[in-house]
Amino acid sequence: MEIKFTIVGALIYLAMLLYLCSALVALVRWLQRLGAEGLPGSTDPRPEDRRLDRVVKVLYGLGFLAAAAALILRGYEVEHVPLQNLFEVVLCLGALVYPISLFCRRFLKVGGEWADAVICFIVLFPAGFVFSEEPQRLPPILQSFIFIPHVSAYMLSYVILAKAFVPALARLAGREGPAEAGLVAHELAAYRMTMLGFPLLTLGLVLGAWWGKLAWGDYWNWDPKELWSLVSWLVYLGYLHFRSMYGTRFARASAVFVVVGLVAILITLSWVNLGRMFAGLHSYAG
Amino acid sequence: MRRAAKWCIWTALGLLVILSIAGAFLGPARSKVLFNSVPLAVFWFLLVVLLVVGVLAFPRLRRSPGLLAMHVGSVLVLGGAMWGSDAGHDAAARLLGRSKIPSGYMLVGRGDATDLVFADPPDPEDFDPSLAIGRLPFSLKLADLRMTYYPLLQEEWNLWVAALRPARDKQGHAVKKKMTAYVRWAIGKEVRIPSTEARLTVLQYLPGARPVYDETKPALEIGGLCGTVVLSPEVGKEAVLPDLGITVRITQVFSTLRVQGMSKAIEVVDAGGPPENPALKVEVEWPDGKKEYRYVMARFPMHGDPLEAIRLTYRWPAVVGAVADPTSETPAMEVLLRGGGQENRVWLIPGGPGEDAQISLAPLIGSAAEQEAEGDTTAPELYLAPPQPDLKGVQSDLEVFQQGRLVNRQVVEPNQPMHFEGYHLYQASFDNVEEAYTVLSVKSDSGLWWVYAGFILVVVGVFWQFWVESVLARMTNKDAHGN
Repeated sequence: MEIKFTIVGALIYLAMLLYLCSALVALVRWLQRLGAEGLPGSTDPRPEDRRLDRVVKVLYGLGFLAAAAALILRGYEVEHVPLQNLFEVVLCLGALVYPISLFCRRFLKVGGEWADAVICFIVLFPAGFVFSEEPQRLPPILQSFIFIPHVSAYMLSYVILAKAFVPALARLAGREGPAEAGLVAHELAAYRMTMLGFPLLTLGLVLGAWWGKLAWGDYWNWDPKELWSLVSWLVYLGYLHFRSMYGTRFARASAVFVVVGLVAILITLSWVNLGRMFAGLHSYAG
Repeated sequence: MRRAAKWCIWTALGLLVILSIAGAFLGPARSKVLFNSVPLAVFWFLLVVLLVVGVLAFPRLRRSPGLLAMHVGSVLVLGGAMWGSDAGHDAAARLLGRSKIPSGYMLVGRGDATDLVFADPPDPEDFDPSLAIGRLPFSLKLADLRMTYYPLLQEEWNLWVAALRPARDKQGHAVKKKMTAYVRWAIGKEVRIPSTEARLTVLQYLPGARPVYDETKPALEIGGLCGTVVLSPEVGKEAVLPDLGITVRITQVFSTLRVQGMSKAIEVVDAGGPPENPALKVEVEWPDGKKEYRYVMARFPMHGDPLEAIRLTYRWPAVVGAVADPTSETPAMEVLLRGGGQENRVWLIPGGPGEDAQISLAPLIGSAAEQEAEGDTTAPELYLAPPQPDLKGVQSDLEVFQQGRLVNRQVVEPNQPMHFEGYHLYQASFDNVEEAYTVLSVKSDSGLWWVYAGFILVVVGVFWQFWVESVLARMTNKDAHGN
């Protein structure tokens, strides 16, 4: 446990607090809606409910501003794009989710901002309390033009696929959705999010392989982190095959793929940090 | 057929997931062996066949440009990888008579150009050309080795603890490996010394300091059968041990003895300056006229082959403390050590003579019996070392020769390999002390362009299929609705 007494640290804690508050207000609103589900004429939200909806959005937006400020300040302090170690990666993730939420609601009709706020909180937790923010210099091996695209593609895909996980879990729990008018059903939401995230996951994998070739001499080194990233990719690949073969016929089985995919991603992310015995070529990322 | 293909897809995906998870537990080395084994080679081949059959059996895969690109790309990646593997190289040598080294290492120096490739990184201290596994169709010579460093973040020297710990080498033999760890110190704060039960408190740190010695005069002590003879350390001084008939003569006095060069051409020199490694070169003449030479060092009394019958010791004044000296570039640190019911107050003075540069923690940890069982060398030691700047970059400037003629000159650095005559050469390691050699990793480029073409097809295909097609479908939909 490491508490940060710096401006970056303070901004991270502020962002976490705002994200958490946003998620809690959304939870209250959700419970209210759940209670009102059986009542007649409950489709139109009351003015106070609409106010609550606005509070959720404002808190979420403020959380994003705090996280973005922390990220920019961090980049300014270390004088390079802050994507070198896990501290910087999770900080960047914490600021990236908000724009993705806006995009998904506007173009893909996928909601779930409350879950995004929870994702932001979880993602920022290690930035706030686990990883050290001590600035590090880039060793020669990390000084590559592929570094930023490789890590960015992976980060974006991880956030998007985490967002796919939420409706998949809801579908697995038997809820069909959508939670709000104007949005798509859970099954389709999970599929759309996977369609959005999978190409980025593939790009991250291929860029990693290309970089591996330039840096280590092999595009594939059988490193544990590489193998787990392959497992994640294969699980989503399996999902897309399944969805393509059977459509929406086995919605719960489809949802299992998406849920397992995120578990594989979490293992990929944390594998080298689980113990020294598994440390491989990617150990500098810890 | 299509039903069978579907089952094959699930079986292949499932198997690949299980094998990858198993590989993650096995570690890179054993995992590579597993995935390159004969059963897995069959699996990879069948996977390629399955992909081809899939494209033929499912018309949708051929109609959709995205899906077609992804599947054809996967075939290229797998095919190229198999062609570029060690087994692929073997097969090419047998079937096509093409002999190419799949991978290896080169030791490239500033002297003669070399084309020798080794299975493992060659040891520059004990270079053996007979271990080479092959030759490249060109030779390399190191024209220049350039290193750049980041500026130092701190002025204070680092406090380290070093210990020999039992470990296993690549062949699985029990060996002792030197482990080092930082001691995160702050003045007045008691901290635990890593990998020991002992604790230390830094009492003072002098950024520039010189040692203070007791009144003892430097002297060579010659222990014989009948007592000890003492000589003052000057060239030409000699003593005869009458009972043994041995004459001991001082032939050279070193303020700081240094050994330079590699194993076959070592040279002992006096680096001068403050007495960092005071030593004497001593001639021992036996009664039969036979002469032997020994180096006797004050800081390393155990160093060198012992002589029969006599014992040589170079006594130096003991350090009793340190004083601040702004002209000195080395610091001094006074620490309080606690452990095993004992408390020691000692000075750490790097570069100074005597036993002061490093402190053995033997008395503070474990029982005496344990230490004896492990041998003296396993007891952890504390020492100060200057902060090392972080490496920012390294460049090997190489000259390429063919038939003795200089044909190319290229710089190899991390992330920027050199490509020549079907091989990629990567910066693997280098001599950061004397800049005399660089170690390059050599990789054949067989199959690589197929793999790269496959990567491009897979990425373009996947974005086309899931992003572009979705946007196009949305636009067509809007058009259809009269927009």
